[in-house]
Amino acid sequence: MNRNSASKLFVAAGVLCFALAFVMLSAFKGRFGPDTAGVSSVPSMEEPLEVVPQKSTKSAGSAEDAAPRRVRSVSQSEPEESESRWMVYVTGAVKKPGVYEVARGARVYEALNAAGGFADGADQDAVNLAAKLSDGEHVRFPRKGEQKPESAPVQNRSDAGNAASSAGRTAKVNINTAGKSELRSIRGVGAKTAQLILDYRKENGPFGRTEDIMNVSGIGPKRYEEIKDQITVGY
Amino acid sequence: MDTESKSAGNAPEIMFSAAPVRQPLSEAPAFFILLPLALSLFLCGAMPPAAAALSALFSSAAVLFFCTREIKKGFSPVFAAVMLASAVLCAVSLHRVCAVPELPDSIEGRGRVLSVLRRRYDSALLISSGGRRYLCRVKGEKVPREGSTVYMRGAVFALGRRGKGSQKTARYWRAKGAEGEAVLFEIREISPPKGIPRWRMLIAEYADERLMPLSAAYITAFTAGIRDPLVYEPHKRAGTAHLFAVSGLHVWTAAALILFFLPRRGLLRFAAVSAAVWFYVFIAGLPPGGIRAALMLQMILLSEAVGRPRSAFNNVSAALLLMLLYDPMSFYDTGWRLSAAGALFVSASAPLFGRSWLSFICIPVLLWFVTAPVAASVFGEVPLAGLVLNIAAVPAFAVIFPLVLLLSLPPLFALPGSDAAASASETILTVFQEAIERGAELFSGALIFDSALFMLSVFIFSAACALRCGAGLKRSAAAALIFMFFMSYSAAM
Repeated sequence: MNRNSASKLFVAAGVLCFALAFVMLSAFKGRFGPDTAGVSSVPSMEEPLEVVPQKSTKSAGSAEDAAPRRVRSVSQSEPEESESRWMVYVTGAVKKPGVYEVARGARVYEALNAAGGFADGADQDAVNLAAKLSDGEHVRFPRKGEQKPESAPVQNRSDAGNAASSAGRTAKVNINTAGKSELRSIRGVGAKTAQLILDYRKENGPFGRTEDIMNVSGIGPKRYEEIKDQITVGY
Repeated sequence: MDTESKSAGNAPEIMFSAAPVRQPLSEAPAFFILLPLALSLFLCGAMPPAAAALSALFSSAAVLFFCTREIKKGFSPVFAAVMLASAVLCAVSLHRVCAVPELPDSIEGRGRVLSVLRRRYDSALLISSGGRRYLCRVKGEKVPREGSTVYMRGAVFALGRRGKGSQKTARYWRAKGAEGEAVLFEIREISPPKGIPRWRMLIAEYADERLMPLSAAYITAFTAGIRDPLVYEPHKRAGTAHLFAVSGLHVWTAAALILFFLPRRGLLRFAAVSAAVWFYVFIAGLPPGGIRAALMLQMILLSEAVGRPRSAFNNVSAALLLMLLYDPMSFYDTGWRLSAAGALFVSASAPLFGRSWLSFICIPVLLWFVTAPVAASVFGEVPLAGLVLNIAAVPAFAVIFPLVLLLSLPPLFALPGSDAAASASETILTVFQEAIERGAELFSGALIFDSALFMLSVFIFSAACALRCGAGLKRSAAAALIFMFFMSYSAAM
């Protein structure tokens, strides 16, 4: 091959490589990168996911042979639809942790299925899969060897009993389920902060731990120290 | 010779002295490993890592093909080796960048303050505790000092916890080594600064005691990397703030002063300069430009010791590559980006201009355009004064810096003639500072980040690199044009 044709061949190869680079770029542009990894655990599902109870879940089959339920991420929900649905936060040893919508009256196994089933190493007996869920609940599936939750799942209803005092001890306010008035009952939380907490919860889903309340603007470490003994996330 | 070679041969006689046909893989193999690595780190912010790596490898191969004008013996195995090395290094680095650190829920115990960044309303501290580094924000005046040991108690969050708006800040702190953010309930200093931060503090105190105000401020900035805001601000307005960041010029001057007293060859020369330069870079607080320059110097001394030819462009590429391999997150550090863009451009374009007087005007002006988008995207704007002032300020500083350093030695070590030397140093710096302030007033105005500025920057930078790798004028222009569209398309994602 003479020098001239080699030179032209290199130019052609260069153009081809640039074209391939452009193709890659346009095919994958806008997909998530490391900036979003680890920042939010809320999965963004493009399409509604058909959830079928898995055979591997022991209690699932025996508890209820329910029809598949449509479960969507929070970001996909519409106002009217969300009223008849509950939001649950599924974390721990599951394949796709995140916030999911389930039908009212759903049970734990449905939330598990929505989260893709058990991940490797999950302690499958640690959580009662037949237990009933409640709106705004955080269900955590522990791994083998991890400490089991004292009562899993804990019921987190924002009913009156939750806020009531018992045996001289004030019940903590569940910041994942409490309404505005209940949030205002926390010493140090006014109407504005209560609204900010609700807005944050609506946008980001339930709080994973009480410390996460410091992500709400206006609540810093000082105020958190004041209110931490009055709040809970329900597990 | 083909037309392209002729054009490449004719034009360079006037402007580009480096005319002979070069082989990119023999000229700068390190550059063709650095390019895909840096590009994949740039792209992975907005696309999946594997796609980013592939896209970067294709682009790098394209540039390499554009720069190659003839096949020489051994091209294929070297090309394959470079591409393979690039692919492996991209995969490893992207894996490290994308790994999500497993953080504890809370933190309680001792930590060491690695750096303190004072801001208007609070101070941002980088604290090392339990083998991890955390970003901590502290309000008030009583902020723990750099290098001190603290007791701290707080809750740990992932960086960027405030949502999308804080992603830029999160990336900045990840580049500094932070893995998470600790919201502190309590922090108190339990032992005073020690180690290198203590040395830096002592240098600053010693310079303050022995030198006149302006000389003390400059010497502290040059040696310990501590900037006095009153002296630094006019440089920021004038676009000459880079003179304050310990970088190539400072490291090379320090090395030249040491080399002057050493034998021309031998192990002693290598060992003494290496030790002194690294000590200097550590004392200066490990600035990216300083590390890059020290690595370059190391490679040049090594090539001198083993009798290999040296190429500044390849050395810069290799130094930057080593830095990225050590910590891929440093790519997101503004200091690293500015240092990389500046050093690569200067080392690529300087041989093209040769010893022509044009180089003294063209290189600073073009360099301003190359680095302006990086600075504008981070600082919001870039002063126009820098475009003009750097033409005079950089050569002037190259004389002033060693002169001030030498004149400061008598007062620092209480040698005879201290007063005269101190006064002379202060006068020189006063004139320089005054000129900078006047210049900033004269050429007021600033540019904000703009896509046209970004495209121009990419075009100039890539054209210089392609020319340096032997692409010839036409091919360099074509490659730079395509690369410019590629980069602007990816940046617009």
